[in-house]
Amino acid sequence: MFKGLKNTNYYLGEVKTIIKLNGFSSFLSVISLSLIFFITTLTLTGWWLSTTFTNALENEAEISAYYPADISLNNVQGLILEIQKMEGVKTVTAVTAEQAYDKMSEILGQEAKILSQFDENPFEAYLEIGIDLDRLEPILTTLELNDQLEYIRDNRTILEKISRISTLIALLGIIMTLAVGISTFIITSHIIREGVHAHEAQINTLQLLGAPDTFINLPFIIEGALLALISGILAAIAYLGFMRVVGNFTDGVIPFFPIIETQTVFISISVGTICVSLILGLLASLFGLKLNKKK
Amino acid sequence: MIKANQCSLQYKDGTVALKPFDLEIGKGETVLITGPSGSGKTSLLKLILGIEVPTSGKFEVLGQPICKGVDQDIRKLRTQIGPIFQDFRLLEGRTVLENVVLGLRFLENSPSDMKKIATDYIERVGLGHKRNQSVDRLSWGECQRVAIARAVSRRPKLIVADEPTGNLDQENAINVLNLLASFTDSNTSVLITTHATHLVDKIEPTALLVMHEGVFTFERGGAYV
Repeated sequence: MFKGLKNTNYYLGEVKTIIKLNGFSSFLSVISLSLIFFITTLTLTGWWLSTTFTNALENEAEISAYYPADISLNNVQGLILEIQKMEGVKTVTAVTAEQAYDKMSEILGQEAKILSQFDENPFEAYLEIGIDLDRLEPILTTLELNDQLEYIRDNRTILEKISRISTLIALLGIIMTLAVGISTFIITSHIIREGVHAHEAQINTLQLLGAPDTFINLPFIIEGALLALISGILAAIAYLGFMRVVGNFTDGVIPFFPIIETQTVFISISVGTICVSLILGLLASLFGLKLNKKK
Repeated sequence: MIKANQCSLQYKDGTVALKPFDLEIGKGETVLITGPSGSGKTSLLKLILGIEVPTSGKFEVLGQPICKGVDQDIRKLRTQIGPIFQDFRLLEGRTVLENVVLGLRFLENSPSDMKKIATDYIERVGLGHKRNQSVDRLSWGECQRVAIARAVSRRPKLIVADEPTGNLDQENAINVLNLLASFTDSNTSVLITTHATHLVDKIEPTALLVMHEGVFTFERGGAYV
């Protein structure tokens, strides 16, 4: 360990020289990597937000079950108890016709005056059943077989769309993350190969003097890791700045959006990006050196 | 130090660089190898440094066989050799001191020792006043002395110098040869290749070997070839 540390100054000096010699190329690489990492942070944020949003919507997934108007209160209570026992049913609430009217008035807001055009309350009493979306099919089948229920409104199309969007965004997130990983790998390993090529004579001399591979390769590995790390840091700074600006713009624009603690997530994504950039830089440098060795 | 037994070297393009030869160079000797360009001097140095492996026969340097599949051992062997290349192979943009220290970095030296040893040898080759100057601003002869300092500061068991007298006038060439010979001691051998045959009488090598078209012709010294 100590033996390796004695050359720390040399390694850092070499890294400085290598970066300086490939100055413009290194600069462009950092910019490209920063942009790639920045896009990734945005994709990850979108992925996370959409997952949180769809999860919240899934938790709100409801089925409305309508029963005959002449059914007794006892029967309604019995029906509620029966449905509550079903697997996947979270809550069962009896909504009276008046409550249904009030709910719609609330949703319509200023447009609620249209409801006053009706002579009578157009809404019926129903059971509001909160469910686990994964159990939608068996719950619906059981409810449809229940003689005491007249009509089931399942919102199936909307719920299925939400589920599909959620899967699509997750898939997009995975693809983007993979694309970023591969791009970083290619760019960083290419930088390393360029660096090795530019220092071929020096490497050859060191080999002839008996320098071990670790001694020769370490400056290039540090270079790759450093460039990727700088890119990760720049991307994280840009991301945090961007999210702050976007946050100011969108604050309160989407009132029905669930309240989410974003700050912790944004910081986690930034720190994660920096760590991943460092790891990718290290791996790509090793890969670049391996390719060069084979050559 | 160096042992060859019916060793030959043929390049991939079919060129026969060294015809089968036997050779033995012991400790503390100064061996001068002369011959015209293309006679096989550099090929012999390539064998010694493990850049090439023999096509046939056996070749050993400091007890290490030079053959295929022993790359790591050859790398270790090179740490015991002080090579002085024809084109010096100094690192551009670095100072004299940095170049000499570089040869010591992966040997068993502490950082303070490295600097001390390098400074000492830079003084010995007469460049003490230029140790912090970039090698880019040195003359050809000064660069050569840096290369010598880098090679000998490693306290190698074997110093190999490829054409160190090339392009030098007679006086400077003799100075360089004598400087190299001065690093010979009971444990260190010096092997010098030069095509300047007229300089042979000006120094006192333990042995003189003459090469011609890949063949050794023994001229003077002990039982080597």
